Amino acid sequence: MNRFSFSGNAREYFGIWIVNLLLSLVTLGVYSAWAKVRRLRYFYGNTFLDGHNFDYHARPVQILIGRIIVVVLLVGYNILINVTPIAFVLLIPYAFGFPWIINKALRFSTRMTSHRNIRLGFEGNYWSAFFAFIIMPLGALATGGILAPVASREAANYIGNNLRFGNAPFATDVKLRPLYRNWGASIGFGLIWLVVVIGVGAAIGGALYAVWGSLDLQGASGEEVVKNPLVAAIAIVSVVGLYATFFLGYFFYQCGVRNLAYRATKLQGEHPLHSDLSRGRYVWILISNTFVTLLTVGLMRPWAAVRSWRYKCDHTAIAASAPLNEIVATSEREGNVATAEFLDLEGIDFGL
Amino acid sequence: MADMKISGRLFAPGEAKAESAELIALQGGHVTIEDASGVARSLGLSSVSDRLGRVHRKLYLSDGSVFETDDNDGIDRLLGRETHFFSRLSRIEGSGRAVAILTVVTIAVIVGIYRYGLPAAAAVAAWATPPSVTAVMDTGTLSTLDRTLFSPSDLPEKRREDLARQFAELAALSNISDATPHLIFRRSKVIGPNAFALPGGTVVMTDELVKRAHDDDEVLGVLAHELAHVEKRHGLRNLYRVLGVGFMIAAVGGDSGQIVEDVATQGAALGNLSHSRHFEEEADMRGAELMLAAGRDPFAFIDLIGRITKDEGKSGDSWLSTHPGTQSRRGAVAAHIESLKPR
Repeated sequence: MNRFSFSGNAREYFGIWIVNLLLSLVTLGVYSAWAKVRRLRYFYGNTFLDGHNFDYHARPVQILIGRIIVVVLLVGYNILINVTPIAFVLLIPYAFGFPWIINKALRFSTRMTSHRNIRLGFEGNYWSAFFAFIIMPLGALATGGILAPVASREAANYIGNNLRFGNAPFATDVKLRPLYRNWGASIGFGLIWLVVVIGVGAAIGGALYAVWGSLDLQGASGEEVVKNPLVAAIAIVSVVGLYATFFLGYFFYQCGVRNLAYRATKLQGEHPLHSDLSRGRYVWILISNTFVTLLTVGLMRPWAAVRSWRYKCDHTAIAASAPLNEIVATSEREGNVATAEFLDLEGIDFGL
Repeated sequence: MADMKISGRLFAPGEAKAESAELIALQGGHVTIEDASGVARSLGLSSVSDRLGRVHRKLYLSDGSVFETDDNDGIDRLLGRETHFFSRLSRIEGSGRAVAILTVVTIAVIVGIYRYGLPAAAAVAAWATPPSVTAVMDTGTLSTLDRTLFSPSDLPEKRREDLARQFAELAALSNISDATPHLIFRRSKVIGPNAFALPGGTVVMTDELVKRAHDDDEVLGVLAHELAHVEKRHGLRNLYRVLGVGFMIAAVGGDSGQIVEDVATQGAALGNLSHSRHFEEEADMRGAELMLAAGRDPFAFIDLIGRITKDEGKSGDSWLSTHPGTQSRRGAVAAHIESLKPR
């Protein structure tokens, strides 16, 4: 079993991060393309597997052009939305364009990633992507999440079965049963959190009641009810609580899906990948990262980024003795940088 | 250059297998590489990866092979790249003192952009926005509001015409150059007694507000306040500023994940309230000036607003409200009028 490992550290990354940030600000965002390449080169370049590191090869000018195209399109769309309320019909061609965007973007970001002098690759198919990323998510939404594990299976299989390392293909076959077990566990986890949040909310409410001491809403007008500080506090706690519960449950679920998807993936039909993140620990890392980042107004962001990356590396592996040696490069088209930047700027993440 | 040996490993073109090798010389764009068995070859140097932390350096060679080494200093020395931009940057990034100074500078730059840069940039952008664009924005916003919040006004035609005429007289006293101020009336249960200005000069007033007024000066005072918003382009400036803050959040915390970005955005929205309040104070002052110039009562609008807020049970100043409290508004307007008097 060959485990991934990360040789970077928060101290070193802080210097890179602050320089990236400062130069991006003083160049009004132009440098952000160079910053992105340096950030990814730092993380990939310090990620080792079998004594070799990964590398990120996109050229900053490429990224910059992609970003300009995407920003112009997004600004144009937002202006249109503000000017003519019917601009939302553009969502329909967008839904049909999205699978194409995903395919081109995945091709670009995999082509820009290498290990041992060999690039990754991705060759997608429009209708399969349409099914995995439009139809299935809509189905999951329409069934109130009941079909979410099926959607996860389709997405994981689609990505895994079209992914390549040089001339060596990956193959993924995630089973539904464990996905549903993970789904059940995630709902349980979310419910436990909901109970905790309600408990905390009740405690805060009780404390406020002791201070203000009035929840006499009988005969109060609607407006008076809304202006009651206790009611406001309860409303805020409920909103924040539900938001937190949803996100925590979601991260818990996604972490489980990652484990299952990696374990169901083989390189060249015989070398299985492995992932053994602890869902609870992973969610804890994400929550504590968020709080630490916010409480330090962003200054601990580099530490948080290194921490979660390292955790993922430490729990990812490939069970291969020495087959990586024999893989050779293939020549393949690059994909499209603007599509990759679109997913990046819109925060769409495949957690590869 | 001199014979400094740099040890690393060499990947044959397109292959995953690496053999240990040594880089022994650089001459006229060609490097000499000696493999483990002592055989030396001279290859053209196509490109070198930029220095970054302790990340291994890669030399891309003309035949497609790649030489990789962790000896960053050795590469910089051999290739004379110590003064290359990214090699310098990398030294800065690795120096504790430089990083400490840059951290302070970055915080100062962020605060400076937020406090001074964005409002100034927003003012310039608002000034540069052509009237045709703001006119389209007005039409779009109004049609959305008409479908969601508004119903047609049921004020008597004569009353509306009368107010519109007085509004036009007031607008003629202002310095509005590239917008066409015009007044329209709507009825709305949801927003109640209210008035607001759109960037293109459309001023909307609700029937509810007109009905609460005791005399025309009270209505005109509110309209003067809205005209001041149009004249100073507050709507556009606010819009651009919010856009700028969004960009800044994306730049600073872009890779921190959804939750951090959400919280930052909410925080920025709170910050925006205090900014809007500054605009409101400015509109109060300018509105009072317009009323004085028209020979009307500059305090009348405060009576009207006081009456409305009192009925709604709102009280005084609060850091959450965008509009200043009635008492402090009256005081500020009085002080401003006093300062306008010739000495």
